[in-house]
Amino acid sequence: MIKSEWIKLWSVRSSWWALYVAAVGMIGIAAAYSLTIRTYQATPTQALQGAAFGQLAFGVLGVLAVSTEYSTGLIRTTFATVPRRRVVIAAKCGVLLAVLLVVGQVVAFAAFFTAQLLLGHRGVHFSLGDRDMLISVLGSGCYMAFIGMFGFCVGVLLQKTTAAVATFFGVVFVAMGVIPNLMPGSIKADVTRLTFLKIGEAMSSPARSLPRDATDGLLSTGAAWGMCVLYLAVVLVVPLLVVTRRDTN
Amino acid sequence: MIEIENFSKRYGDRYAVRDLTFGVRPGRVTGFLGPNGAGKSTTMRAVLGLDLPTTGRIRIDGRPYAALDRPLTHVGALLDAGGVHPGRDARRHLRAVAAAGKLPERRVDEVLARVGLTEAAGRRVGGFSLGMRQRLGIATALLGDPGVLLFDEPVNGLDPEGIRWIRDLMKSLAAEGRTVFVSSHLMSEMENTADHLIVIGRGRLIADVSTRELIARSAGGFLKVRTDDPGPLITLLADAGARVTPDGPDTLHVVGLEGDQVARLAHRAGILLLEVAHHATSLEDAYLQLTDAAVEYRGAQA
Repeated sequence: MIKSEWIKLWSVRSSWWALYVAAVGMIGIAAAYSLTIRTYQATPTQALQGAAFGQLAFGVLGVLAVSTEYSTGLIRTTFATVPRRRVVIAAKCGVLLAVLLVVGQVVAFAAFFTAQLLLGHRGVHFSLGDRDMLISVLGSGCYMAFIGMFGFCVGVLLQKTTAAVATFFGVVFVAMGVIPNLMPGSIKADVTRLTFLKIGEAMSSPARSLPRDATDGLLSTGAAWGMCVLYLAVVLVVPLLVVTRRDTN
Repeated sequence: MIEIENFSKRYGDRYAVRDLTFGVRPGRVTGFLGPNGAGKSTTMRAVLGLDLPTTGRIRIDGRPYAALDRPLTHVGALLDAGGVHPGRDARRHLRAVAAAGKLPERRVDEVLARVGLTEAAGRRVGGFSLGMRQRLGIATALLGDPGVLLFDEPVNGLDPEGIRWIRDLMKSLAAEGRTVFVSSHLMSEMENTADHLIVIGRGRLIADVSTRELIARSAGGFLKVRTDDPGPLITLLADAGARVTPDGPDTLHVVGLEGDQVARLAHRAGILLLEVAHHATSLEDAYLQLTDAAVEYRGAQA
């Protein structure tokens, strides 16, 4: 089953494109940042903010990995081949998560080293050994992998590519930006901290040099990792719960 | 061997299939006929364990689908959409299905050869013609060398050559001793292919008969009679007990009399007949008679 999903993932071009876009976006932004920022303002973790691009591409890949199987009707062949649907979804999930984790890390480290090299030429020196630097880079890649799996979850729930991609964007970039603002003032800051984008920012920036204050709207590094794992657990379990309960017409 | 027992499937408060019971035997092509919306696809999906029966049981080789070990080695199916990602090439599509079904890789090349797609195996399916896609769908169905094959509307949209190819394939698969179950909404497609017919309408079983028996069973057709002035002939034949319906200025359709009786009556009355021809009921007519009451969405009469 793993082998089957592996073949499926790599035999369509959209998978490759999504990963290229993630890599080019993230490394490109790191390079652009490193070349243009005023050296006295340069912060290595800022160079990782290309993860915003990476998560877009990973999310779309997550959606496509499953929605195209539904939209083409291939899912019927797959479920007829392996009637235990949870096995199918678990294999799909496992392959995708492994690929996204590996590619996410490769891309995050590539972005970091790009920034290190370019900023080094301009006299700004930092390294992976600096305080919290390693965990920032790891967090950046892991967060992107999580967003990809969120896309996968939306894909399983909605089954249709366009609806799922739109919902993915709507939730991550719109709903999670708007809803906190509708909350009463007392919990607004807390809700904001729990949105995906803020979790991602918290995971990729523990090494930031600016001092943390109450208004920066971010969880601590440990709490952000904890929330991410919790979200990931939900996102992995929901597809397993819904998949056996539906007819596949 | 497929056994369907009291199968019903309900979507919301509407029954797509109601209390269906029949068996599909190996070694022959069994046609599964019914108007669009009669419940054919629902039944096929249920056989594959894709839709769960609301009530009733479906068994393949004596076991429910979910209890089959390596299901592809028991049942292969071509469902109407084809079910292939357009961006994937034919060989890797088959390799992915073979891997999921725990089938040996060599089967991929064997089925590609059987459906004549060896040359096109490395091409992306998006560039395939409908006929080629259909062949790939059939290759997928044959991967596990199964004893039971389901084809849902396999000739829809195919050119005559493609239709003939699929017909011959189905016959040869049945001749190899397999159970071949083919759905269609057109009788004419089944007339030359199926040995046995299951006819359903509005989700209920209408007939479970051999193709030959269905033709024989249908009413014996009508006489087409042409004459210059139909008026007197209508009276004459009606008096003799026939049912007569005019069809055009000089043509009558006559049921209830043989051709020679009509000729003698006309001769005695001094009426010149231009033509007396017997029209047998085709299988299509027999099928339409059967399903007439069960057509769900009828177009307005022209």
